[in-house]
Amino acid sequence: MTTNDERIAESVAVALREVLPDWEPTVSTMPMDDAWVSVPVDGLIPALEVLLGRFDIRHLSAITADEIDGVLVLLYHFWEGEGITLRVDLQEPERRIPTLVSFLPGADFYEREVFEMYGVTFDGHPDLRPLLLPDDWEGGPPMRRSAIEETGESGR
Amino acid sequence: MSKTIVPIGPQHPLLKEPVAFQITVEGEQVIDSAMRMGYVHRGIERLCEERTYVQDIHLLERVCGICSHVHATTYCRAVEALIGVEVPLRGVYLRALLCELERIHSHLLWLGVLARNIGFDTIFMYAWRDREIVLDIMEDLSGGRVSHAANVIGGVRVDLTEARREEILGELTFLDGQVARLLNVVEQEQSLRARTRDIGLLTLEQVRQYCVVGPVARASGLDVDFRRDSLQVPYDRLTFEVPVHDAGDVWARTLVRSQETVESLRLCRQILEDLPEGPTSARVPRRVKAGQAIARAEAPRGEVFYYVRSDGSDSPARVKVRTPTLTSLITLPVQLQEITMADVSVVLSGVDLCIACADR
Repeated sequence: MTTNDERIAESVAVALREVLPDWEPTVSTMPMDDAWVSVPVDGLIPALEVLLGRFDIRHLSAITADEIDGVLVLLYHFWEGEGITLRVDLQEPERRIPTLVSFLPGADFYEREVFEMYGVTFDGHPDLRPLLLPDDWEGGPPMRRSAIEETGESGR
Repeated sequence: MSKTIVPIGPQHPLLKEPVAFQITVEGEQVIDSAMRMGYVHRGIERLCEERTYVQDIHLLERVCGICSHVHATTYCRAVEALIGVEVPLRGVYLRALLCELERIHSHLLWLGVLARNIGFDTIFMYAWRDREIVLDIMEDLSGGRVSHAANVIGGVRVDLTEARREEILGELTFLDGQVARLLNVVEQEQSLRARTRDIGLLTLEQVRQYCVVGPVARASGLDVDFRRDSLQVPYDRLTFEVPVHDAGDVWARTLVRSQETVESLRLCRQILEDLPEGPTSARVPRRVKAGQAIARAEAPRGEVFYYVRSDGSDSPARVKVRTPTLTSLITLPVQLQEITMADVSVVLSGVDLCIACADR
């Protein structure tokens, strides 16, 4: 299966070079996932169009937000017979990214969760309000490293 | 006609777990619906970052009260991928055995809940009676009826003696007969069909758009099953069918889950018959190397997704959990369109909601 996956990841990377000539996508692998392609913030929608249109990869398993070495990273985990993850490094302090809801309505709850937990704004989302946090929640996005350090609260 | 808003939840006899729906009706007709979740949000993803890898197994097992084992298994598989350790075959088989028993127990529980909500108490009682056999087998295997604590990083801590293996095979034969009878009632009984047909409709296109997984997706004609599609050991060595129906209504979901119960029984039998000899777990190093890993598995409700990142310390730097119910909840406004108020309870039961899973 590996060769085929590399082909998909490589094809996605080649297609991305066409739509984003200034960007050199990095392709790597993650254990148990087939390929990982890094894209810039404004390359997310072109990348999605490549995945949907050219490869018919439509199943979005999850959107993970993760603070890696101080950079807030969004990981879009797709699957269609093989896993492909798009990695987007967000820019500070805007933390904005276009929404996928108009292409994939299934991204709705994933984006709302990232919004409330990490304070990322999804431009164009039709209903960006908290998903899990209570209505009277006070304080910043609770999963943010800075928020955890400020409150000093520990779950232990 | 004037509009009325009917609140269902967060506490309601229809719901087993807290979630709130606001159903707008005009007469008997549902015209709109809204949902509020988060009543059992425990912040598990964040708590994982403050516990060690081993402690997290037990925490993540408590994401769900029904499919607890598959959560712990999927998390362990991600951590094992980070460490680069391979679980001995016997351990993999025993994990799969518990996963399949859990699927049978979950589907029988669901069938009971659906039957109860449509007023068919006989099926409810038979389904839950037979579910006890599965719970007994699981309790005997692991010591727990719902939380098994069977997983360790590198394998499982439970094992089977030869005598016990034979006994379980006998119990499964008895269960085969019970489930076949139940399935016969489900497939032939007119009233169950009359109550579940043509409601909660989801088309194949909608299922793909909303990224729906599991039995709900398979009842709308999407042929996807992560046990088969991700070439997981030991499922690549076992023979089983993936039931797919294309009506997209609650009736099709009932058929998919009932037939899956039979397939899971078949899998349990094969696992026990082919159970390899050897150790059940591998020795693992104390440190988890820095890196990221992803694991997916087919829980009773569909694909469960784990992302684990390690920074080389004792605790994971990030654990992301995506549970299958989240993908079903998002389709509820679509499913609740153009039905009558009396069918709302059937549609809500039909998707097999697990709110504790969705809220984490």
